Amino acid sequence: MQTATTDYRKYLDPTVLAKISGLELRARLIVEGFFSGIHHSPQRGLSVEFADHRAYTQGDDLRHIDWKVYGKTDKYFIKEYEQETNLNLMLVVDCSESMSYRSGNEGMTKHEYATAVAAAVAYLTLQQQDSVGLTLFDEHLTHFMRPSNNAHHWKTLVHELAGKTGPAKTSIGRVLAELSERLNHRLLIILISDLFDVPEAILKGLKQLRYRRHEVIVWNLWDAAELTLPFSGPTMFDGLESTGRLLTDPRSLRARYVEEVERFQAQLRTGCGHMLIDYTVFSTAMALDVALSGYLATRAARLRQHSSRVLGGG
Amino acid sequence: MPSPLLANMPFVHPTIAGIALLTGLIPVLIHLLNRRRFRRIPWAAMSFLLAANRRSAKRVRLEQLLLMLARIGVVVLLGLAVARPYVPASAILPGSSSRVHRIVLVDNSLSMNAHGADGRTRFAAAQQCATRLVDSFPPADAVSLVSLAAPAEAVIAHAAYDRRFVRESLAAILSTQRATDTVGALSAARDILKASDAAAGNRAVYLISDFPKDVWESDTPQNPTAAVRATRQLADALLDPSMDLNLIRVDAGSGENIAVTRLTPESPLIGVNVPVRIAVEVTNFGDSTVRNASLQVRRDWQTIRREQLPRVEPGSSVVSSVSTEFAAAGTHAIEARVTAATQNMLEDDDVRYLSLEVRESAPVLLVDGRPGVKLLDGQAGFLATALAPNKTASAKDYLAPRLTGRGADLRRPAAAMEGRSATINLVSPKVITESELEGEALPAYDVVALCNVGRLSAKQWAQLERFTSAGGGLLIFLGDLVSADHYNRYGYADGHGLMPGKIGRPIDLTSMAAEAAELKLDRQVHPIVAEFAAHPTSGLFLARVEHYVPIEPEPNRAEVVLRYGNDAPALLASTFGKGRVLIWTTTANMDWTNLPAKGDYVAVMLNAVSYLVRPHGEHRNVLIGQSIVEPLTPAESSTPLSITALERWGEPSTNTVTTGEGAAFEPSVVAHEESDDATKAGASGLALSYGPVERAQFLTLSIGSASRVVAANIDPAESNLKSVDDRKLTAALDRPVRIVSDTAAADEQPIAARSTELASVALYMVMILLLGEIWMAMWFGSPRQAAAGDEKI
Repeated sequence: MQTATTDYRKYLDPTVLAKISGLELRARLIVEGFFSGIHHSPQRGLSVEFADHRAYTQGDDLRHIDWKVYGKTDKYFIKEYEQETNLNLMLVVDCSESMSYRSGNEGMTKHEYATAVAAAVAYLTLQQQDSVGLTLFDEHLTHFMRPSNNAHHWKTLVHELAGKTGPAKTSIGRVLAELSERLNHRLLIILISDLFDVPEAILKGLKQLRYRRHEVIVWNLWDAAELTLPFSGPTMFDGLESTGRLLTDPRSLRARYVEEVERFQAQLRTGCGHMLIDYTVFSTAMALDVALSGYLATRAARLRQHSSRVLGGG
Repeated sequence: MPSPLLANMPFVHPTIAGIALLTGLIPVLIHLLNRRRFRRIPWAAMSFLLAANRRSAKRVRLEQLLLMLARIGVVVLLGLAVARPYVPASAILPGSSSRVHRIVLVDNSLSMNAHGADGRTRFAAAQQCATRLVDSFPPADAVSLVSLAAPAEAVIAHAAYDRRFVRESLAAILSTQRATDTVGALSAARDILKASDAAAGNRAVYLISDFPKDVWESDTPQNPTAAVRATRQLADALLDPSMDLNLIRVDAGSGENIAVTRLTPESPLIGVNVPVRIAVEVTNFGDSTVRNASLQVRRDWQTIRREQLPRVEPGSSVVSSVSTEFAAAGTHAIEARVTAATQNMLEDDDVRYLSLEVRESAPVLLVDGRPGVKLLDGQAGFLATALAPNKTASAKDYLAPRLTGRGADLRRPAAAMEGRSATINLVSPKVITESELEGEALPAYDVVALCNVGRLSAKQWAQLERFTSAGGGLLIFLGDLVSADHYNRYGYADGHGLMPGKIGRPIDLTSMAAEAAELKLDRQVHPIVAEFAAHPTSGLFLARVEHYVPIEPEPNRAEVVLRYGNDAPALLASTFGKGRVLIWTTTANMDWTNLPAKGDYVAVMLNAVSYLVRPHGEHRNVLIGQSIVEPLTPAESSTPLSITALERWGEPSTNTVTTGEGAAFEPSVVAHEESDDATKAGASGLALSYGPVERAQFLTLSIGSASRVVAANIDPAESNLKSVDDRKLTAALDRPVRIVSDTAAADEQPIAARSTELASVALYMVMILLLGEIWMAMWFGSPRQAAAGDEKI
């Protein structure tokens, strides 16, 4: 088995994964590789939570009698644990045209990367008996699946994720507002997108989600070339999503471009920080398990820090 | 071709400058091409790119403009550096250079060997002047050297900066006995100027010479000499000839000189034991009368005449005729020397050498158109008898070979065969019939005579044309057998044949006035009959002609030697190729004229044959600078060959080298281009070659056991030591050139550079621009620069 787990890890490079057709297999590989890397989940057992007491009736398992309550009240009460999921996750994946970009001939498009990550997270979540929902969008919400922990749910979800990107533009602010209208229960929302929209509109949409007390995680996905503009020589850039075209020597614009990108990211990071939204930048050049585990470790550490701060304050 | 604009630009190579300016378009074109040849990339993060572009557009355009200007500057300046710009020398710029290319022409011809009273030759003065000039040139200047002795030689054809090498090369130029090749030297200087990479104002030419009158002064100003024309061309190639073209005259002295200017035999026919007259011409080139000059003539190292010459007036010549005879056939050496008591600036021309080839007799082939039983009955009998008068050919001698079909061989007279050294014939005639002509090897004869020959085959005409064009002599007697149509068709051949005109039908003079049948001289007396001019009652003019064949010579193609009383041509002289043709319009025997019965017939015919005979041994008289080329027979070409230089009085000099040893006097055997069968019978196609000969002297060619004498002489044109007058030279040149004396030229400061070259300045700028371009390219592309730009914003 050890050999098998080693084999899984080498498939986690996006360039290798890109060669594997079938999102389901990709996601399984990512998750198996992920597990083989961590061995023990720090989240094990957290899903079994105390829910309520009820009076003992005949036939109940004696192991579940709360003896502390009996000592205080001389009545038999049975401790009830909630078997329902402790996590309702909504994956919100961008399917606009800009997500179809891929630099070079190898590797994955942003959309492929996003769907692979989303499928893997969904698989993980379902493995832990949690519920997972899915929202796909471009200019509008194109697909909406309520969270479920049904064992077959994952297949449906993967099937939906495997769809292609359309020619539509991104309009994240409007989509998030629309989404917040649809979600009644409190959810953990993971937004996977390149966020190529006006930062103010994005932040406004996120604010509406937070207002509804959803926990939001933003995974800002970039192609490696979009971060560094590594081209040289006269180049005609044909903007996706009908954003125009530009003939220029990229070398002369590189510094300014990188600066623009960093400013955009900084603006989002600051805005998200104020709303206690977790904002992370992902590059399609990053190995998926590393991206996932790196993110989860960071998030766990942040949660611990957050809870300790709350306890210390209480 | 450079445009006039470019030609006036201050560049050494204006054409390259024009091209360099055009190359400035290359970076622009590359930029435009690159803009057309972009790659296309779909791009998602367009908003950031557009934003970056909006913020950087102005800066990027400025950067691109700066880079473009730097690149254009690099390309253009590099081209301009190759085109070598220059500015007036007054504008001194760091890194510029002001080199002058100076071409020194030194005359080392024979006339420069003339010496003054102090014994110092003109050449020594010229060389000293040249050395002082070279020493006075600034060290950065380039020097080229040209010598004037024919053929002119560019001793240093390139621009030499090594002054030691220049001095050594100058010292290596030696005085010669050669003629002056001023035109060649000036042409060489022009070539050097053409190839020179010095700026237009930085070129100077120094011609150091004695400026001989013969070379520089013409009779009419409208018709300047070749040297003057060449100097004008050279002056036109210089920016300011009044400064840049220096004609430096060495002190010519008085120009007093007496010389032997001619030593020639008076007749080309020279036989054994036959007296021959040799003409010696002595010329006084000076301004004062030469008295008491003595002449000494030697034959084969033995003095045969020593005489006191009459006074020789300035600019005039005296001719002394020396009679001598030779006891044996072969080459003989004749030497004439003049000794003058008065001032004589040049000794080299006081002696003249002559190589004479003496033959036992000249072979002549007579073709008899209608042979008789007796020799004198035939058409050629009288002619044969006249040419070989010392032997009366008997009927037996004449007939016996004829009967055997081999022709009568009269070449060896009985006296000679009997070993007697009595009189001998200059000519040995052989009589054949026309049918035998084809079998004869014509090149073995000096002259072929057709005596009333009716017809010849086309092949025979072609044979005669080859023979004559190669230098042989053709004597044609017309007569009753001659077919006019045939002769006009093959002999005249529409003006391309041997005859200078068409002939007609025979004309009877008996019916005309008595004077019409007599012979008379033309207004221009031809050398063949010159000796009769003073004797109007000689047999030639008393002879009567009854019939003749009229001929209409083409204008300028023939000379009339003799005419009939009716002014019709009787004897015509013309040339064909290298040979000569004589046409008698009457018969060679008594058929149509009684001339053969006159005693003068012998003299006239011998004169005619002498005129036709190809001079033998001419190639053994060469001028200094020419090469000796001696054709070899097949047997000779395989024998040991050597050349011995003989000193003045026949003693071998030390320069004697046989084949295979040494180098200085080694003859070489070469293919001889003129050794066709007409030149020398049995020639091998090879020749002994040696040369060029550098000194006036006798040389002995030893070919196996035989030896032949070759005479090398100076060009008599060099004996005139007078120089052209400054005023006349200036007028002739029609250009403002500088004419100075050698002493003045050596003392004055050399002309300074008029232009300063900026090629190195341009290269420095290229380097700076190149570094700037690299720096800008790196700086504009670096993030630091972008950050700096932000701060400004």
